[in-house]
Amino acid sequence: MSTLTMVGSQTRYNLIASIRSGTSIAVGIIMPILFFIGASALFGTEALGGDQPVEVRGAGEVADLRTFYVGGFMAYAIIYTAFVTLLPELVEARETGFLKRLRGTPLNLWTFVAAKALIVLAMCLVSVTLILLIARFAFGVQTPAVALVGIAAYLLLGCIMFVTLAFGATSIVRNVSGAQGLSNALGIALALISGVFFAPTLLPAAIFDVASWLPLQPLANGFQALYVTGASGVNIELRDVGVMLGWTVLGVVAIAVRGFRWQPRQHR
Amino acid sequence: MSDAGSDTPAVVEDRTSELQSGGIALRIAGLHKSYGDREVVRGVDVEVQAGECFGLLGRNGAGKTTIIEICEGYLNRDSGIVEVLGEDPQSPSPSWRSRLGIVPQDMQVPPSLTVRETVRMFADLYTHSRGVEEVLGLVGLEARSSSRVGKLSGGEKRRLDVALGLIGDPQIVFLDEPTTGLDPEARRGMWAMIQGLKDSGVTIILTTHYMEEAEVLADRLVILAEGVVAAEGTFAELQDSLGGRSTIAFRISQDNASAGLVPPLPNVVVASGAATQIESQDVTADLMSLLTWAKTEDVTLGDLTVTRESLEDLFLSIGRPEIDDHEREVSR
Repeated sequence: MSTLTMVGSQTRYNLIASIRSGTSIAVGIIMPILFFIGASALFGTEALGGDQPVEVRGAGEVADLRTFYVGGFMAYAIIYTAFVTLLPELVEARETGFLKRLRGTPLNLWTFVAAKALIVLAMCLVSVTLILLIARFAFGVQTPAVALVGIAAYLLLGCIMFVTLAFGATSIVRNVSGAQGLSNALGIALALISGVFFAPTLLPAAIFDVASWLPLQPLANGFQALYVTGASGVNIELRDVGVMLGWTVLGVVAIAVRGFRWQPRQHR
Repeated sequence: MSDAGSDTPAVVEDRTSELQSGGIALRIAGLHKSYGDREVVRGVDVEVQAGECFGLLGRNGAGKTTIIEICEGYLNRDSGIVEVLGEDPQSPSPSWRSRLGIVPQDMQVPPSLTVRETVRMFADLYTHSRGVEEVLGLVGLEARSSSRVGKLSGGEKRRLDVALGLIGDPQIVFLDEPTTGLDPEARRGMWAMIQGLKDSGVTIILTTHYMEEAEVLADRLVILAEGVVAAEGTFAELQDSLGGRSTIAFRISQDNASAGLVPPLPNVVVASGAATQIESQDVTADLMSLLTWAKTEDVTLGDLTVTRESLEDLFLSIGRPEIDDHEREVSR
């Protein structure tokens, strides 16, 4: 069995298991999309000032809040699939002994990481596509064709970053409920300060500055920059890409230094 | 080499017999392992020949699982030598794991996959795996192959565990308490399956705390107690060395009992009324005397039985449940 076939097979069966269990679709795809629809419908209205331009850090302004939400919720969907659901899933696989069992086979860590990353990528592709379609047909937000290149690039980078961070974070949690608590707290806290639910200008500047160095804001900002008024070309924000690459490297280093644990921490 | 063509079958045969009779599949020497300041394995030596079914017995906490997990490469040892298929499990070559079959005690697989999907998923991890359908047949799960894993009974789940251990066509299989938690029928089914596995020539390391299981399956066994080997040998050898006493029991008629008839043997330990028991070191001789006596005295021996003191009793007397395997420090 070549490594590639092994990755393919792992991807396939882990994806089937994931889809059938339903949790990752509910938390990673359906919930972010419902939040996106709710936020756009409620706050994107003229009555609440949703028609005013919104500032995008370092890039300019997008036409209105609904346009701003498209980028923000694509990032939100990615962190929820690639981190908030993945972390407890990995910890559960570890604590039930499934990872230990895989460890007893010729499977190596990076094949397993690659398979998980591919699954995350496939699911994020679905949610991002749905967000783009809903934005276009329900809220009238057009995505320029050239922006699709940038969306694809940020999607890929965001998934890889959060997947490596999720693998890295497994070493600091002991059990599934701890993992769920940590990932949900991080997911919500980051979303609140990263310009997902409301414009960054509503936040204290200091908090937004800190957020801009954390993993989620650069991803949201990168997406949003693709929609700024008068943007031309692919329009990639190098600072955002740099910060995300930094977090990815940190995740890889965490896995390399702390090691990835295949065996349950808790003796049952 | 020049006549290799005509010799091919013979060569294959030679290799098989070499694998089965020669070669040491597993070697443990002077093994020590502690968790914190508690030493759970205290100098264990074991050698297992290729093709053997080797039983590792002991109570919970005797050190069985620790030793097995060291052999499987899950745990690092503190000191001693361990070689499995000629390699150190702490620094194996990349192909080593593909030659091992592990049937663990308590490891889940995703409940939403079907039996066939699960076996296929594991088959894909090996360069040379056995056929999925073949292995499903071997463990008797063909009829359940489309069922979700979460819907399997305890016995079926255990069979799936074995299927996953065999799918990579291993040279050595570690069966960790394969029948714990199974009902008697499922247990017998599992035994038949392991017997079939034995017949195929695979080396089997079986841990169990059922003496009966070891008697049925193991060619040779060790009994572990408090981290050391308390006894070692074939089942019969262990029985001889550990005890070898038998009990002859029978019943005589009330009339004979009233007449005070007692067999002329030294160890008549219980003779209450009509029921009589004789502790015997030499069953053949004692039976001979007993039958001669019965014939001479015209006594009818009702319900005559000869029972050997069970190894299980002795085993229980060896393994005191002191060390329990609770917290464990686990390697990656």
